Amino acid sequence: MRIVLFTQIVSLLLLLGCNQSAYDIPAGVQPVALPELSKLDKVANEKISLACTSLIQIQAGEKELPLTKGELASEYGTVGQLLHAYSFLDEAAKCYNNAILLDPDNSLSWNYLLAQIHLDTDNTHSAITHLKRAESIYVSRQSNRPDVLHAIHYFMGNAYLSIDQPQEAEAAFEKALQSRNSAIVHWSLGKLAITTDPELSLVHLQQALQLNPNARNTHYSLMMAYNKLGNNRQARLHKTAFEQAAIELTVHDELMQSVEDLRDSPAALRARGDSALFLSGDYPRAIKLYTDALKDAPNDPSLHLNLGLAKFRMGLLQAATTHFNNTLTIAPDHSRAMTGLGLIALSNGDMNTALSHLQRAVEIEPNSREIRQTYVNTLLQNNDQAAAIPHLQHIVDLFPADQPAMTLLIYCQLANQQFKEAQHQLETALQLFPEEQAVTYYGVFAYATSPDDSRNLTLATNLLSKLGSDIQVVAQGYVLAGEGKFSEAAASERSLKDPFNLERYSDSKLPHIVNYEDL
Amino acid sequence: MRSFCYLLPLLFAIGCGEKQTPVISDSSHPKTESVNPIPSDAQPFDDVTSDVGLNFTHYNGMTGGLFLPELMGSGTVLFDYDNDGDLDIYLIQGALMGKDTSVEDSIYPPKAAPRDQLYRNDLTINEAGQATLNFVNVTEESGINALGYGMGAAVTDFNKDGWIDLYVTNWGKNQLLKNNGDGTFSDITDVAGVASPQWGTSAAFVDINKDGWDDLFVSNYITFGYDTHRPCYLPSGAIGYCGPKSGAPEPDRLYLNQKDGTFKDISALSGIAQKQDAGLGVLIRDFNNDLWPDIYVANDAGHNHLWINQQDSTFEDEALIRGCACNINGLAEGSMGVDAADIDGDGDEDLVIGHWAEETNTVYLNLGDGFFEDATDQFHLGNPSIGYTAFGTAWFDYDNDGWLDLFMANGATNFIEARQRLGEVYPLQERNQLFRNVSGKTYDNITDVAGALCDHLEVTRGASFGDLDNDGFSDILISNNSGPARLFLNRVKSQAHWLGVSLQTADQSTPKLQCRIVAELGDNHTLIRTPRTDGSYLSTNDPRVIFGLGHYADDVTLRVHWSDDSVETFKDIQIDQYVTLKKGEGVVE
Repeated sequence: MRIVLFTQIVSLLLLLGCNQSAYDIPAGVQPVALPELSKLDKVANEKISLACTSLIQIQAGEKELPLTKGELASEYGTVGQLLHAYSFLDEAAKCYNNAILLDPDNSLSWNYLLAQIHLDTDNTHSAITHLKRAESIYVSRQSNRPDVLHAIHYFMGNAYLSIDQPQEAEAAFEKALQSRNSAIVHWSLGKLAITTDPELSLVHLQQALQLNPNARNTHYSLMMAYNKLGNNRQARLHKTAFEQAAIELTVHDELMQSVEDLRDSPAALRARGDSALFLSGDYPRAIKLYTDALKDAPNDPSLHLNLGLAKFRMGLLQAATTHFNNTLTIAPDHSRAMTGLGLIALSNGDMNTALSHLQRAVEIEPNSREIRQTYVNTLLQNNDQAAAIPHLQHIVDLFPADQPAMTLLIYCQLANQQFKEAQHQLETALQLFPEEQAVTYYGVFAYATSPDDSRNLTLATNLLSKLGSDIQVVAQGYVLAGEGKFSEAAASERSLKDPFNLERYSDSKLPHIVNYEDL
Repeated sequence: MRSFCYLLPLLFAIGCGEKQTPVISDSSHPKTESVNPIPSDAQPFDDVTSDVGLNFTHYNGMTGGLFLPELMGSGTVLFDYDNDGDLDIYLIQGALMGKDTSVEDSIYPPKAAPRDQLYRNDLTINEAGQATLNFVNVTEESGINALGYGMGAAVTDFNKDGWIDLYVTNWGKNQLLKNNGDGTFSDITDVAGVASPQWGTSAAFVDINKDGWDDLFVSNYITFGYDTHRPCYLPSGAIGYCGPKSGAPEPDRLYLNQKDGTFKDISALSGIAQKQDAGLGVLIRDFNNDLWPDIYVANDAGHNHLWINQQDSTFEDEALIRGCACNINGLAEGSMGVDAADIDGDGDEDLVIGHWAEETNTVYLNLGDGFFEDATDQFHLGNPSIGYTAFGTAWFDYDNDGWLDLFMANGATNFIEARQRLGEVYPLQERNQLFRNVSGKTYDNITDVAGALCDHLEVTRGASFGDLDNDGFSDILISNNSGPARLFLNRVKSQAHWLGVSLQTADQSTPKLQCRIVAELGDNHTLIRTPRTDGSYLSTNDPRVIFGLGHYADDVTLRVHWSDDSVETFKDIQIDQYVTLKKGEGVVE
């Protein structure tokens, strides 16, 4: 009974109210609601609210309908892009869907973007449907945007792969190659064939490598393909190349890029700036994004800090100083800003200021290896090995296999006459890093020249044989001095360009330890 | 003004009571009849938590600061601490978060002072064979005083006194709790030298040098401190919890059992500390079939590690070359929970790893020699996991049809907008998932018919798998972040037969782990399982193996590959019961 009554009311409304519309609204069009925006910043909040409110008013009859269905479709699509940009996928999908229903002939973009949402939300079959529609519209309208068609086929191939339909995936990837000969599609075809036909896989992967020789993805798949073929040598070569390569293959996706570009609130700009600064190392882009973000969030310490970092990395020290100081004005205990100021002071030759900033940064963030290591490096530049020892010990306690820290610790202990402590550390270091020349060099010194009760000339001599020719000359002097052969030790050092122990040897004293890096 | 009328057809549709649920079906793989497919109205698991005396609610200590530790949840522990033949429960608790905060600042205040809880299983079985579970909270009398910000645990009889001990990891100093054998535990952390003050997550005991004494592996996460905590933003610009890259990864630790109640830190010398990644899940298995235990570590947003035992107390990470460090695209993923078992019946251990919502979970199929390939899509386990962040997990045969099924304990790490709209303060709730293994070829998503197990929308983290009522069917214990722990009792009670097995050696009265057991069912049909307690996420499991035998109703021959390379056969084992196989009592091959 209720349903009948409801139907009658709807019919009445359609007769009375809707006949003013210049066009019919297709079935299936859904109202769009304002999403929950509390976690976004004010700018994004207002922007999305404004866009959605306009649509909501149209939906409620409080605002005039656009003149044509195409215009309404465009409005839905545009709001959909904004919602998509800020990850409100449910409402964005509704918008795209409405746009498609309202203006199907012009819905290439909306189908494509809706497919992207479906791919992100485990609706693979729907994604394929919409990618096929996008492809069909592209063909029927004789579009000339090969990158768009390439992306359609690439993602179609990936979608088929994810539902274990390799033949359909292969067909889609082959179509993608017709619009653009790209590394990412050759890689995809190669990846697809690893299990079934590793030889064919290699053909595609080598083509991908030719187009982009430094792509991690390709090297990874080549490693797997060679593993499959039992070619361990090639597999390991590509493993190494994978570890050294810097680039991840991506598809040129202009439609999704237009969505990304809509994400321009301060917090979003910061997130994009972080990506540019820390992931891709694109400092100019990071600076632009952070600077834009600061306009709406001038008191955000993280923005000032990262802007300072980006400028510091570009060598703009004065500008970086301003941003680090701004950070500390807003957040006085910001260890990273203090570290930045310390490094700039060091660049300017102001050792005392540098040490002061870095010491404070370590106090604030005691477990940061990065900050503590920076402080240690500065202390050593200041020839203060004794002060560096507890910091290096702290690093080694937290990271017991940190070879540079352990080596520096041994050096500082020896320079500070802490022979027993250095020998204790050497026991571990020599086991861990038997091929490390610096450790071996310090080992020779420690065992050859320590006070009598811990001197071990046999051990020192054994270690001596593991050293390369240049530093072996110096180390030979240590062993000879340890044996009391001071004149022979001096003779050994005389072959050096800048001998440093000659006077001591002539006084029959034990030699200095020299930082391995200084040799 | 033109009126807006296209709302009306929609209203009409809603008024007619139609609810559209998209159904995705894939007919590309033939379905194989299992022994006991679940009827659509059946409930394979019942939530019996409140009926059996479990009343634990996790306290994550959140005070509004969005601190990363409060996101991680905690693990669950199944172990028979009183040696009475049934599994007891230990539940790990969080603590107050924030600098200069008090409990009153908690967004979800605790009902009592937060601390870990020990529940004794007082299982009774009547003459008709019906089991009644009853758990008694014995925390106070146990002497356990675990007040840290708890994460995970590992169990073993580390001192070989016949009683299972407990190691608890914390954000901060960990605790080794020695079982005194009289229902009490002593904290011997400092004496034993295993405090490991970093942010400990999963841990596992493993006899790395085959000297008969279990050593201890501890995975560590990242550095975190209140003074350096900063707000984090998602790519959308929405404020949220920071991720694993917000701190420096800390090296894992390996402690060698000195056989005198103490351990020696060999993290550096063993090679383990040479890599730093944000470790979460840990698994011990012999992946390369050399009869030496290897260590797999699931790392959050970094390459996973496969530490291959070099047989001299050192390890080398071979995950990358062996194909199990990252996914098929060469990308490191946000790895959390992990398990390994033979899912396709070819006799080797295949891996599953739970991942972040924007990634799929990943299945690494063992090619037989400890080399792997990403077979996620082949098993149809990729797409269904998109949108879910998976933590606790295990391959386990819930219906005892002989094929290992899969449970995924899910809970988001980024705020879910749809939950925010409902006014949730902690909007991270997700549904758990159950997948049924179809003849070792593919997995069906049976979440919708899994009943109570997957009905709740919660922030699940830890999950333990074991037979708590000793009926031969595996039950599941889960922990929810800032929510109740839940015990799901297996109610399948199918026609399927089963055989439960635990192993024992002469020098150890507690169950022997990590030895491969082969069940021969005739016609060259074998099942291979490995008893273990590790895996999942921050949790421990039943050390017994349950062989699901399906329709197979005859006696079984069991072949045990002991860790000293010897192999023994135990013939004519009756089914539908638990047996303990003692080393030296079988026929040596």
